[in-house]
Amino acid sequence: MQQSDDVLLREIDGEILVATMNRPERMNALGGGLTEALNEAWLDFRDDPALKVMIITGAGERAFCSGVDMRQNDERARELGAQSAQALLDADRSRGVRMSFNGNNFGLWKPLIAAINGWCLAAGCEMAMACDLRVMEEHAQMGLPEVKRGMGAKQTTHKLYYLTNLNIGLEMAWTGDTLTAQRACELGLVTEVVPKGQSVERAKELARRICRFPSEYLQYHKMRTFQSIGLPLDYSMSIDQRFPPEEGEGYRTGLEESLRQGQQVISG
Amino acid sequence: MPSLSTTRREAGVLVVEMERPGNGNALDRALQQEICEAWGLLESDDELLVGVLHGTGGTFTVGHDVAELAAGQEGPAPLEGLFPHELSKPVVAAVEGPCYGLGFELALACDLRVAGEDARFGFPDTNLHVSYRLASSLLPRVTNLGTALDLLLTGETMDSRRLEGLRLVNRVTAPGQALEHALELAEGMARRFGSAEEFHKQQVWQFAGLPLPTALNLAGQHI
Repeated sequence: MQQSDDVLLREIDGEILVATMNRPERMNALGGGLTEALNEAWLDFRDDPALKVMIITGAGERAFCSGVDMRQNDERARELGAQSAQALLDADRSRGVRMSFNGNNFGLWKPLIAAINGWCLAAGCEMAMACDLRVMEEHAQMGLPEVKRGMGAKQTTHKLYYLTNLNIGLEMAWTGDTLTAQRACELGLVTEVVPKGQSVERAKELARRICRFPSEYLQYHKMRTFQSIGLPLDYSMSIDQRFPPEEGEGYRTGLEESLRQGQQVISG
Repeated sequence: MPSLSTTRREAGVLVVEMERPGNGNALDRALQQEICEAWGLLESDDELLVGVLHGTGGTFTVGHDVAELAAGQEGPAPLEGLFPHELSKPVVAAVEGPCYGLGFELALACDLRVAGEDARFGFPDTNLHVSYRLASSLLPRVTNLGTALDLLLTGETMDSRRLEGLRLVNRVTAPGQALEHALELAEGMARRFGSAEEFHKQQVWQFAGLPLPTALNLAGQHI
């Protein structure tokens, strides 16, 4: 039974799992068991064939996620006698806690959507970038302020290159300055900007749209898109996974459905 | 009746026009074959330097011919020779109206895209479960990872202005003006470059995705 004081709330809406980081008093910072709860949620989502799309968002109006809980970090650093943030990360790793924001680390090839409802910073920003689509509320800002605390944003700088380009990625990592929702959208870093309070609703609309495709179609195209990156172009076009969607069970009925609904737009 | 016409213009430009009125210029096997032949002509004729691909009737093309796919037993036709990125000569897509599915891939495989303001791009038919191999390789390179996943997974379409901002569309024109602008662009290119070799097109396409030191080394050998 889910309690309203759980650090991660889960709501299932048909084939959609909505996970809400629920530590609004700490701007949904990763602490108090939230990292572990998120890791569990990715895995449960991956392994449940009834679930197709996962939305991740933050409770309250202020924050999506402000990153690692620094207060908790500082306390733990004192406990462990750790001299640096890096020493703390090493200590976490030795406990088997991995900051695995990147769904691909788990072989997770189902679509993930971040509904960015407020401050989206540091590890919170990395988590949003590990999702496939990002819907951002107009008042929200995102950034990698680690550099301002003498830490590096290691997980995301490489991915920013593919989400924007080389210079924007470096600018974010080196200045620590945040991007407004409008700027993030211009850069293609977020899919769209929505009014305050509407990111989850819009993410659900997108998720319902995604759910109209069969799982095989979604997995095929997500995998192929990720795996083609960084390969020579002609090679990347020639490789193929098993099970292209036209060999799937629903291919033929899909064609009939397309004809019946007149879904193929014909004009001219 | 052929559904493709080719017209020679001055300065060595070949205009290739898809025309299947009432069918949204859908790419059935016959039209795909005719497009392959047009690329063969462009590539082999020394007087031709640049191609322009266009759809008549205010539509680029809606993509696969779903009726043909549903009627036949075999899956989609093999795509060898259909995509013009493999040619040594540049091709400009002049896009108006719907540019969907396989048609969107065709536009992506062109080197430049000129689009009317009301053109729309994407994979909107959620019942058509085919693999978009070219788009999943090319979209992340032409735009970015997030835009590629958005288009492929949601099936939502995007307009010319949005895709101009995301670097996929090179020039946006008033509705109905894409062909005229594409021809100007193509003729200008053909005049500036006297031969196909000077475009260095194949090098650029081959370098896309190579490790940078490898690409720079290869580039050094071509100077």
